[in-house]
Amino acid sequence: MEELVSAVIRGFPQGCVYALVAVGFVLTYKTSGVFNLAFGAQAFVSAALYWRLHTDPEGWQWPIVPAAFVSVVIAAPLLGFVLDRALYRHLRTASPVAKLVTSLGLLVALPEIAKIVLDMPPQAYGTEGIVPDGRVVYRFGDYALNRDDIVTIVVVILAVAVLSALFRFTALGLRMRAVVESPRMTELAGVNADRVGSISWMLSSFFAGVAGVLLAPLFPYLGADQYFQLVVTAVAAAVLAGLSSLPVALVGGLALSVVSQVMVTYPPQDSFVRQVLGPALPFVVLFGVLVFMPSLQRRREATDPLAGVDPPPPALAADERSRALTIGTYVFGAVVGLGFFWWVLTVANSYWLARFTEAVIYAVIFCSITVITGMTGQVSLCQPAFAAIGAFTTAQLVTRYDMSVLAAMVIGALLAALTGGLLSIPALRLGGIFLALATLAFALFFERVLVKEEWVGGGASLMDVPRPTIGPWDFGDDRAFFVLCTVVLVVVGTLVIFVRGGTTGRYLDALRGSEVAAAAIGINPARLRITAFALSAAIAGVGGGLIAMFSERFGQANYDARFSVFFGLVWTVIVVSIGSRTVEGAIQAGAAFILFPLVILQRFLPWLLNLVLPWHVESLPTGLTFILFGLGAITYAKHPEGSVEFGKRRSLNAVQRWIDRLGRGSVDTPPDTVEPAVSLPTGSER
Amino acid sequence: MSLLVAEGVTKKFAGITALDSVSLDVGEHELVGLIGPNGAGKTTFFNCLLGLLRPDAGTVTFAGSDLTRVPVHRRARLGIGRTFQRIELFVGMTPREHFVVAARARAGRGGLVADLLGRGRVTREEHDRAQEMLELLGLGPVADKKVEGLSLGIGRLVEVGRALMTEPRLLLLDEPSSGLDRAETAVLAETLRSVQRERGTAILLVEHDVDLVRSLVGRVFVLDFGVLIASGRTEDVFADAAVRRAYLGDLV
Amino acid sequence: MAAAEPDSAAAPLLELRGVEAGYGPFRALFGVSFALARGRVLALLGSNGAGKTTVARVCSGLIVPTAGSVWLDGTDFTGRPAHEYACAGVVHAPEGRSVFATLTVEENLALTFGRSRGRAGTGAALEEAYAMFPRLGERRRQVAGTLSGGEQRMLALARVLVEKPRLLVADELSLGLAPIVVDDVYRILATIRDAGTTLLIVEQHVHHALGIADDAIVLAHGEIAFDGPVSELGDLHERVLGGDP
Repeated sequence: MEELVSAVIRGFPQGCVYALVAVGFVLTYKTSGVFNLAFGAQAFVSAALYWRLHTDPEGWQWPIVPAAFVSVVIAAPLLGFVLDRALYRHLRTASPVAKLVTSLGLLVALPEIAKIVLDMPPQAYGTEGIVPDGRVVYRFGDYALNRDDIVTIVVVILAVAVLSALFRFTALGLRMRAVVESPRMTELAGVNADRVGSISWMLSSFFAGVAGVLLAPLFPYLGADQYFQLVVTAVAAAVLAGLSSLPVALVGGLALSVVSQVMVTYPPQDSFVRQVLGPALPFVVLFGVLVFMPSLQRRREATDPLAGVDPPPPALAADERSRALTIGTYVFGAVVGLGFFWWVLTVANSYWLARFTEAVIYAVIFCSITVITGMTGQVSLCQPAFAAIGAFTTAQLVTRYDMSVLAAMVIGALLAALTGGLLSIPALRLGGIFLALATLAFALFFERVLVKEEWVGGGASLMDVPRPTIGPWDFGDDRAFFVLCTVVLVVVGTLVIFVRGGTTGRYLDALRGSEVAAAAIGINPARLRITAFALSAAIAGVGGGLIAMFSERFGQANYDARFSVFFGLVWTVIVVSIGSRTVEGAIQAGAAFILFPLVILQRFLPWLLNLVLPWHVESLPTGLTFILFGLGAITYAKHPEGSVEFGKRRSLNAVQRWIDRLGRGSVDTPPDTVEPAVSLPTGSER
Repeated sequence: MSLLVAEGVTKKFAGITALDSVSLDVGEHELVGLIGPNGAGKTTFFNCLLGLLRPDAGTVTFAGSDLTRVPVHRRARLGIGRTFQRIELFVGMTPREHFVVAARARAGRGGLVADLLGRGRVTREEHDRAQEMLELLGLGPVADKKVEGLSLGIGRLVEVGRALMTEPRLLLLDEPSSGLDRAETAVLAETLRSVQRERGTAILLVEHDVDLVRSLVGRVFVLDFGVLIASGRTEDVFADAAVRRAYLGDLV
Repeated sequence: MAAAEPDSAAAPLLELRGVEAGYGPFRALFGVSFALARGRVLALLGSNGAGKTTVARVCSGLIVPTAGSVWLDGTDFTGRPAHEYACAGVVHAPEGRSVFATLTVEENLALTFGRSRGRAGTGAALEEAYAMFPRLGERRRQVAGTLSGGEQRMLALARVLVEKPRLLVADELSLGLAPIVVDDVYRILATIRDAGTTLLIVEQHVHHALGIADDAIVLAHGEIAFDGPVSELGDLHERVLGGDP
């Protein structure tokens, strides 16, 4: 009994940390309608600034108060203000998924921007909070709390009280909620919706800043990944609170930590609960809550009745080009592709051969995002887990049962498909962001629990994975293996194109347009979604198998560098920013993921800068990759086809106009599209 | 024999009876109307017919088979087509694509395996049937424009066409004239009449527009507060004093 | 504020001069001009897609014209944000759902009253609204999204009745309501008019709108086809509304 009490009490401070983040999460959602996964990134920005101003031994060494004031009271709301002005103000009528993708882009880009601006070392040690001598310990009988813990507890309880009062009793709180539902209707009530929106973002960003500096001492070093881990753990509490109740978020955060603490203390040493369920509790709870809480399933976001006042810009038409131009672009693409292929096979040294092979493999994996995000319009954050299933299965089957490596890869893909299909069944009824969260929960469960199991990750040592042989052909040689990967990519790409143009693709298009209408003509939405999920998982599994072969030795130790949860976000961001609708986009994303930092940032741009600038530039920070693609993804709401794809279409349309002009001598396209005055078909025409 | 028979359909929400033992039937090739004031339970009843809601009591049979446990999309395959009160089109697709996908759904063949073998493309027959429907509804000029740029009236016709592509034996129309102006309503009425005449499709029309109901249907049912207060030949029902009081007020 | 202007008494309450407007690349209005004098009731008629709703949105500042100007009480309001129109006494009841579905009945009302009456006056204004519509009082804690269509319209109108705005822009108030409820809505509109509010009524139910209106404007394809007193509309409305080529 005493042990139990002790576990409960030990879980309390950590619970307050979860609660603080969960409350911040709910606050952002309530005041902006954005499920802000970038909350941790915002927290990191303030913490990093504080670290520079105060903690950094080689830094400015400001006293606590001015440093905290600048980083929390000034910088954090300013960041919120900028985010609102530059981004979220224009996204109010966007879909929840588009907003989620935007926050993913920010999550990836913001910390890198902060690191470059603040010139942060890769890992800033010696983290200190805003509490003076925060690590001083107070004893209450047998139990000890340090100052940081106490301040955290006080802050979270105070925050819940103040914010609840704000929503319940003040006009501002009411206006914030009104703006979330319909900014235009709020304006009609005489309220300046833009200003309320800005205040909302400044408030929630301020809260993120507070959490950032307050929680810094918890981490061994100051990194955005630390905050990210914390945020995804706390998401469970926020969802438990239905994303709306601050007190429930507080209690949920506490309960999560306390129960988890009890689970890892109380039951016998080797029990399932202690070993697996305890550490994985937040993700199990998140998944469980998402799947079983009826209020979330039935939840449909209140739509803005005045959304039509600010329509999204129409997508650039891609299908009004002349035949010659279409063929021209195909030929150009084929020539460039074959050119690279030839160069890699004949000229490239082993380093570049390996990089290009990786790029091709990632292109295969990214085709899975083309299926899930491009075709079904849903965001899955567990694609790396599916790829890892493919990789681990391949390695395990080859090592344990001496199976042919290609057969093992196929089985791995099937296993991934099975997992994807099973995962999608309970998650099916969830829409938009909740589906994305369920996949995130699975990815985290996979990472924290399953990978560590020997039957999945293979234990501490790496497993040997040979390169395949098919009949007379041996793909052991790196160049031969590159050819094999290219063949796989061509096959997978072709299959994806077939599916997109076939029954499944058309049904999915219909389903994206309107689910009820799709069901009304006899399409089974559930079956269709399971199919899409399984197909996507299978493709990721194939890519994972290729990665295992490419690495030649694969195991748990490779997991973090290849398939960690964070990559799930990065992959989605890159594919979405380049173009998630086309296989071409997936291929370019694969190339960009591997080659962009190496070629553009380390070689091409420095060369270009050295031409025009007098000082010497060695290379650019690799963080720029994240920044660029992160910023690319935040335009998702505006260009769902991908900002690179958008640029391509625009330039191709320009070429088309140029061709037209050459052909006809003049342009006669009207400058303004007049509302299509469709003549009504009259019944008497027949 | 009647095509659709609803018997004693009852639905309660949190203790409030939204539908109280409502019975209705639609015969083969028949045009039937269902009217009633706001909150009378028309939409609830409609959703019970379509399987979007499960009635607490009562049965719905279609062509002799019990529909009670049949999921929404299976009902479509059995031959029930519908349109929506608030228009539900496949955003991002053209009318032609709407019709092609509906034709494919009707055939019910194909699937992932066929797609993977490259056999999922639009067939000649699907293309021709879509073309035929475009011409029937006079949608030729807008066949390849994305639906989000089209007017509400056209959108409603696309909905009707999409439902017809599944070759329904019964078409359920949920307030098809809502949001349409007089000219558009006239086009719609003419289209429905010719569809019924040429294809023999039975139609159940849930409507507010009294004129439209009067001009179109031969038999009408009236709901008020979840109870069927009148049914019968259109002229008789509109002459009924209770109906006039509940629904028409002092309008007519 | 506008009352301080010297010519405000002479100027019409609302005036549109050569307004062109649209959505993104789509243009819905082409050079629309009209004036609405204080205390009058104007019916804005026209077929679907003629631009009626766009005119209503321009009048309440939701859409900024691409050309032309909007004048309230002799003051140029062109380009000002919608909340300034509201503060100047324009209330717009938009087409379709015009209440906040996620807020309670009371919160819906308090949002407006809090701005116009301040914290202290809100309570009294709420009581006034509930006295007029006891049904809303019974449901004050209920989330507005769960009200029936008719009750939502009552909620929107209760706000207007208490506010006594200078101009009410009512867009398709009768859409989707049973005839008997439409009659109620129009009775309330008459009350609002009698309280001194100028009305701009956008309507497809021509008979109802013309029953209350002094003047009428008929829009066709984004242009004004008729502008004058209802008495001069004659049988023109049949032709313009019904048989549009």
